[in-house]
Amino acid sequence: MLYNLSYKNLILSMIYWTILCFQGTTEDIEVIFLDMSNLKFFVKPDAFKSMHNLRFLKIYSSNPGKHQRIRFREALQSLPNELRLLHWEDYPLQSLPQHFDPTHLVELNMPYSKLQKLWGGTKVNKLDICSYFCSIIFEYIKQFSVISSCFRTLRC
Amino acid sequence: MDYGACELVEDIARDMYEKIFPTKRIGIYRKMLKLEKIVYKQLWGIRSIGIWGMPGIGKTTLAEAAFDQFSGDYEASCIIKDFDKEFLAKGLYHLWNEYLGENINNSFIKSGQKRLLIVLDNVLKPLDADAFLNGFDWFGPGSLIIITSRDKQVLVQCGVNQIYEVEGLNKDEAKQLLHGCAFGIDWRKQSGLETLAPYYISVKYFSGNPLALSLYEEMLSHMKSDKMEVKLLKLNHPPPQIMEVFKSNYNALNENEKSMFLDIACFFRGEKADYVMQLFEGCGFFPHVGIYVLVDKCLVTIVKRKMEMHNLIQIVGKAISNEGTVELDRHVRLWDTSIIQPLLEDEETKLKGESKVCYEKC
Repeated sequence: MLYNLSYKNLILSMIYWTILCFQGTTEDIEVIFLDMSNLKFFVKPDAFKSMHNLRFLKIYSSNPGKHQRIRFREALQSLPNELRLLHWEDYPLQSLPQHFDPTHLVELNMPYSKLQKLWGGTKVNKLDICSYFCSIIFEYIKQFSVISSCFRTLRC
Repeated sequence: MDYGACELVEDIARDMYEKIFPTKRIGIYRKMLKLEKIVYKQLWGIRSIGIWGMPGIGKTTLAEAAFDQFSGDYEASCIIKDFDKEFLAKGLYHLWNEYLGENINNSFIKSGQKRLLIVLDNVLKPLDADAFLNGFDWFGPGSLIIITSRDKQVLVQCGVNQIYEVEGLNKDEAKQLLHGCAFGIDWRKQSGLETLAPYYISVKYFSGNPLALSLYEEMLSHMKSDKMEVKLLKLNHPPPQIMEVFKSNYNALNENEKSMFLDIACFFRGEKADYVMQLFEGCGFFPHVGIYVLVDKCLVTIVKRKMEMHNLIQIVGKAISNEGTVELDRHVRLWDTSIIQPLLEDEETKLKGESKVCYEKC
């Protein structure tokens, strides 16, 4: 009986371990700063799904002026809700993920983006985006007091 | 050359001093003069001075040099190297007996107050130093207490009258150190034709830190100046001695301070201080206290309202951030594109080989 139990435990812990190994790799990540100036690839739609601890995400180009190089084939499914800094130059999609909760966000900085919609279906005037800085988006967001309370700063 | 007699004497003295201590005490004479000025400007009474600086910058060497220089003027003197360890190992009374025992037993009790010189090196806990110093009733007017620490807060709590921050070597001194270490010759005898550029670069990268310079000396002496900068930028693994001294500083931090230090080392060097503080506040790190703890421990500096850090400390910070796990993609902080790309890349498009076609279409 005892033997059986420990055997069971062993198998269970092995299964648990394998799950950890497969899923846990991205859980530890807290900060990503990606210089995309020499890169060219598609981002998978669930890329950030398991990065629950991601605090800062900055995707930028140290060599600006070139065309966007990081693209999506499908819309991005999720962004971590723990994000404090979201800086994404040349963001190629028209909206942020539907279920992204910006409660903790301190800074949103998305120059040159194609954003038309923020989360929760908040529409953004295209003209505003053309000026590619967020200050105008901020003005827009102000009308939705719920969201504006989420922001302490919007740096542009 | 219109040298004043005073300056000439000063120069000769410095020259002689450096001849007597060829490699160990490079640049120390200059600092000792400053220290002397500060000390003698203080009022007659119990004088005290704190020597503060990052690990390896030469605090202990300076304290020793000052002890050698001043001790003749005092009736009794002692220097306790690595005070923290000694205190832990021997305890208060043993320390007293060992370092001042004879004086205590013989002359002190009989003759009352004396002029003392006491040097405590590498103090980490202000309470220990206080306990050691407060036990004396014999500090006569004109006594001098010198305390060195890598934490400014310790010096403040010890109640020293003034704090002297030790600066790094300048490029002349770096040259002297590198030549002295590498070839055992006096650099001044060599022709003055060669450029100072490589020494300037090495000072810039190691913040004039003599410990780092002497450890990197072998590598530096073989490098050509044009490739030096590129190579130094790629330095990822500092020598173990350096890691050791800096890690003792790092380990004294709490979790929030550690996170902030590593974030600054990896990403926020040169960013506006207010902006970084706001981000940290959003993370719940209490930066308005924490950042100043980092500043006091010589890990971060704020220059013109920007977050700055010595190169050497940044290299160590990055190494610490990466050393937790062996697997590259399990690092907490990622900045290397070759690690991030596989994490984010859509493998389907990669497998089908349609990446290029799709890419052009999208």
